[in-house]
Amino acid sequence: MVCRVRGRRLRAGDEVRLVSPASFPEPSWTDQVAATLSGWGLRPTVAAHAHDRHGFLAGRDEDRLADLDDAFHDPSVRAVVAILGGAGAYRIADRIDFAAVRADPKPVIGFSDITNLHLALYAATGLATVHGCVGTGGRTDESAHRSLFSAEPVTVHAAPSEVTVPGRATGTLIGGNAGSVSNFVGAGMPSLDGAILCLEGPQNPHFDRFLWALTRSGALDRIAGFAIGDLTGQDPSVADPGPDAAVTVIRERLGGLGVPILGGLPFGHLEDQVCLPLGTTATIDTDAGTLTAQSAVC
Amino acid sequence: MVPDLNAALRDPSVRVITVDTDHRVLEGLDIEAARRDPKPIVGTGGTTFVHLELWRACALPGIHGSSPSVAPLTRGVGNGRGQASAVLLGGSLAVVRAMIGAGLPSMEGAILLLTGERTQGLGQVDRQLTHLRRAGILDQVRGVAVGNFAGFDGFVDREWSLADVLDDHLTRLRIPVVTGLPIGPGGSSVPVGVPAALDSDAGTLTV
Repeated sequence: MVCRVRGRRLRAGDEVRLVSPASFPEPSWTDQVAATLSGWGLRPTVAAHAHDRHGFLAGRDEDRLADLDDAFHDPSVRAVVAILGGAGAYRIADRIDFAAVRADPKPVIGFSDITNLHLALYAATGLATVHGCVGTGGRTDESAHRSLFSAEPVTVHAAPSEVTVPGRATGTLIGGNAGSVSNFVGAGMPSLDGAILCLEGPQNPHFDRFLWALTRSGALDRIAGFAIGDLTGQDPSVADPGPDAAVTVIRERLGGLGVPILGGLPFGHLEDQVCLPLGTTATIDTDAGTLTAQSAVC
Repeated sequence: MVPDLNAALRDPSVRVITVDTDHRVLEGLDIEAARRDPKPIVGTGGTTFVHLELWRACALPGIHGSSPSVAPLTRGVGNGRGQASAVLLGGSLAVVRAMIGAGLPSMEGAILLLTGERTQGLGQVDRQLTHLRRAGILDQVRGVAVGNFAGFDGFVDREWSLADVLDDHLTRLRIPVVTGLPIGPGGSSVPVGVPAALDSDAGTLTV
């Protein structure tokens, strides 16, 4: 197996840094995330600018970036937890101190707009990260805990889905939120050759356009398969989601590529999503209805 | 949709085509017919896909707007960084962004025209402009002409308006920028793919 760039798994007593690379959270939400991490025996510390406000951003680009780089530079910090997504991680993702990430890899957990960090970190360093969040309880927190504390592979079960195309495929799991993946078309997309692209996203008028552009860019020419998460969420910023259901769009754009698609996976904008490793070797098996991925930590 | 557009491109009696379309029209588009018998294609929004594709394939100019009659001079607010004379390219920001890496013609040395319609919030405009920046397009162009962004009048998200997002991206540029031009959705028409002059001292776009 290829030697991945992975952080070591967390242990009780480790410091973890809470950051806001995109939009600013309500302080009460930050408290809830921190309390969850404390409950796991960790020492959560909140980044200096996590509650700054600059329009819809959690402070200026320089400050959000400095918070991220501080977390990567600080040897006592063993994981980076994005408190919230929103909008803005795409503005700073290319400018992370990647040399520091390579020198001391540590897992990053987040989703939605934080997909921009996952993609940029993977493209520049090969870092394995975690798609998901901390603090909402239930199986989300259970899977977040397992993703950060265990080096064992993770298996996630899919529900029956109209987008599924039968088969089995193995490759590096890359992706996350579809709108964020679209930011990388023609602008820093990691190679998807032999990869399994995972996608989720709320109803969005640009979904078909995105898959059209992704296909036209050649990024999918040697893709191994797709892992599809939640497609049903409502994005409050979308004025009109348009007539094309994401399910239809995926069937039309990806269903004929000749590679397996496992739909119905419980990741994305769900109330009780399951956290997934990204940037590690994963297998989708539509007969078993499972996605199995190597851990993001070692 | 494609048969209609192709039929119009092939019909010698049709001299102007007004169309509201999207990316889907590009697969099967009869570029040879457009090259053989050039005629202006008029539209905003998704019609920018056709404008950019035909500019790349055969340097065919188009008309960005809802009417075939174009405004030779429009006025907005300039950033006081002098003048640029170059071909005017672009149109819908969402479309320019969507074609990055997927057939967008070279924007090197052009004046970039940007208009928009609100389908999502300010974050979407910020993502689109960031994509242009990260793809190097804002470093390649000689000037930026910003037209109408329909649906954003009075729209405020956490104390930011559209103007704040545009300023954030465009004020750092050291090239002529004119914003607030009454071009595009609900405004005047301008030709794209033709020489234009952008004067950021006078705040004008001349085509």
